[in-house]
Amino acid sequence: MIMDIVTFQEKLKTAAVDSEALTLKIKASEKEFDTLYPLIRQYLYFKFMLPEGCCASDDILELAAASVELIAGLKKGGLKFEDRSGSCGAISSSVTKKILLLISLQKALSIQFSKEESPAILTITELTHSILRHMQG
Amino acid sequence: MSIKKMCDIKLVIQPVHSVMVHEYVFEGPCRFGSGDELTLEFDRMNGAEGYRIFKQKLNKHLNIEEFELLDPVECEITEAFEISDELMGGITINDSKADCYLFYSVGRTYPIMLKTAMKTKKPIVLVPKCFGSTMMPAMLRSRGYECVSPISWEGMVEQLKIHRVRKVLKNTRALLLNRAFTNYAPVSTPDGFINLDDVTNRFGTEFQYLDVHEFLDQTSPGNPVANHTKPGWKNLNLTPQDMDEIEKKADDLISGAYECTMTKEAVVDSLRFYKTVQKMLDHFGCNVFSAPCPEMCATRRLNENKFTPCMTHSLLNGEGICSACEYDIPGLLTQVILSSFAKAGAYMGNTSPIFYEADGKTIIIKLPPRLGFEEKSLEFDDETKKNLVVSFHSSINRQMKGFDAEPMEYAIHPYTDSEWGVTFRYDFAQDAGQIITMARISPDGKSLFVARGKVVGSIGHDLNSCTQGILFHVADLKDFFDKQCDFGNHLPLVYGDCFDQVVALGKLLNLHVVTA
Repeated sequence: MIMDIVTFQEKLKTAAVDSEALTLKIKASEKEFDTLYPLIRQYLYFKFMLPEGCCASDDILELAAASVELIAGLKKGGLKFEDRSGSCGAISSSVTKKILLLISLQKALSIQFSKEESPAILTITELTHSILRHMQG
Repeated sequence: MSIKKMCDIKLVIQPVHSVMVHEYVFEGPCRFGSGDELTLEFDRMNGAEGYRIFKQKLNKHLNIEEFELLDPVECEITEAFEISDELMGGITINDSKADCYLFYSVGRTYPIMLKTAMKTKKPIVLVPKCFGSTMMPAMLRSRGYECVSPISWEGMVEQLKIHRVRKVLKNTRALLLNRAFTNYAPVSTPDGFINLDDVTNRFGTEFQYLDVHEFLDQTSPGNPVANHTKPGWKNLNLTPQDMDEIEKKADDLISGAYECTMTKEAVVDSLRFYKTVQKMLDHFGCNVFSAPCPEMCATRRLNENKFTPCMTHSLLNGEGICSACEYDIPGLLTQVILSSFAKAGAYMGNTSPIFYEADGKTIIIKLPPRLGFEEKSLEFDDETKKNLVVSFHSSINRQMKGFDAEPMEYAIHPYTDSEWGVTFRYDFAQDAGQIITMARISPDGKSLFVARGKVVGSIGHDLNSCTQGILFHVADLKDFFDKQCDFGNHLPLVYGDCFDQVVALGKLLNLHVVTA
């Protein structure tokens, strides 16, 4: 069931505010996987605008694909929004979403994924481990 | 030196992952996006994701025995489109090994492809991609460079297999026994190549000649420095160890046959020819073989030695070393092509259409009475007689169903009435319905004949002499015959349908392809 455009736009605004608040939580949290994983997962859900409980997968590209699917349905209703994917040279919409997520996390947490590291992060579990390594210095 | 078989020849592919990145944040007619999407960081991460996907695809599709994948190389250009010597040096670091460059491009990296083609003169292979798949081949081909632009990864594999067989031809080095050819064309195969220099220029195949008498002297286990033709030379005559090996092989061949009507001594004699060919192939670094049967026959030295080349052809073809009767070099190269695609030994024989008079019984183009074909033909119904072709005077090989398949059953019968000269026999009737592909290169080396057929039956498998043959149907006998007349007698054939691949190879080699 696809949500209506007004609801979606409201959720978009809320997600932006919530993800910023979540960033503070992530920074302040204990640097342990079990603590960090649900926070990173929630951050991804905000960024991908996925409704809570949707798609149980740990796979980032699968979650990105679910997000694309959701947005594609909304676009049919005439929605225009900022965080779209579709750069001409990009690999796919899902990959674009993943990259934008990583860049967003880099900025939020003041970390830097290496060129080799970023394509190797395929799951939220791997993402959490990677963030932990960077945050622990 | 060791024999490099055609199945050991791989197409060496250099994968190149090329990425275009933007150093500056801006939008324009060929770039659009917003926020982080316009950053260098995004472009690099995007490129890295592409590289990950590229490696997955390479592993999934190209990790097959026909190919050797070199380590992928990465390169990056910016919106300045500058290509440095350093960048090109990185791409072509393995150029001495690479046969082609496979590009996976993220963004507009076309100048790199063109520069690579210009610098290496090697084919550029494209990963299917919107608009690049048509733009790049036009850019490259119009400049005289080769470009493979498939519509899918599966299609790419098929096209690269064609390129591999072209490489096999380039890496073919034929050992040719020769002797006093008559006038302009050999008696053995007057429909053979007119000019072997042209053949080398066109196919890359090289030829090593060896005098028949020098060869025959070495088939005996005598004093190697006392050969009549090359006295004082350290010739490669058979050694006592070679003879032990031959004795053992003779036992194996006799025990492996479902029927053997020859003595072990006769089998040993034929194996002396085979073993000497093996030694010569190894010595000269050759990987295919042919000998001029009639010219050699006329020396009477085959009679003296009690051997013919037939079993040598059978054994070598089964081992993946193409070996052609009667100095048939177009046939030999065609065997290389067919065997490479079919991954099986090729068969070769005198190929003749069977036309009947209006009575439906009398055969117009007569076959040798020894074959007993006319008698056998009386058993055929009208459907069998229609579009029927026979290919006889041949040597079967035991790997016609694949080099990795179980060897086919065989019988051992003599070639001569004096019961020497081993030939292998096989009853093709048990494979009735099997699709076959046959081909032949024209004497001028400029055209390629390709045809499909379907096995009908066998002749001569239970006889002696040159009688072994295969019967098969073609689509249209008259059309087949008319076209065959431009190509010649022997039509090498393999089991299986590789018609499309052979046609594609013909086009790749710029040959005029004639099909039937």
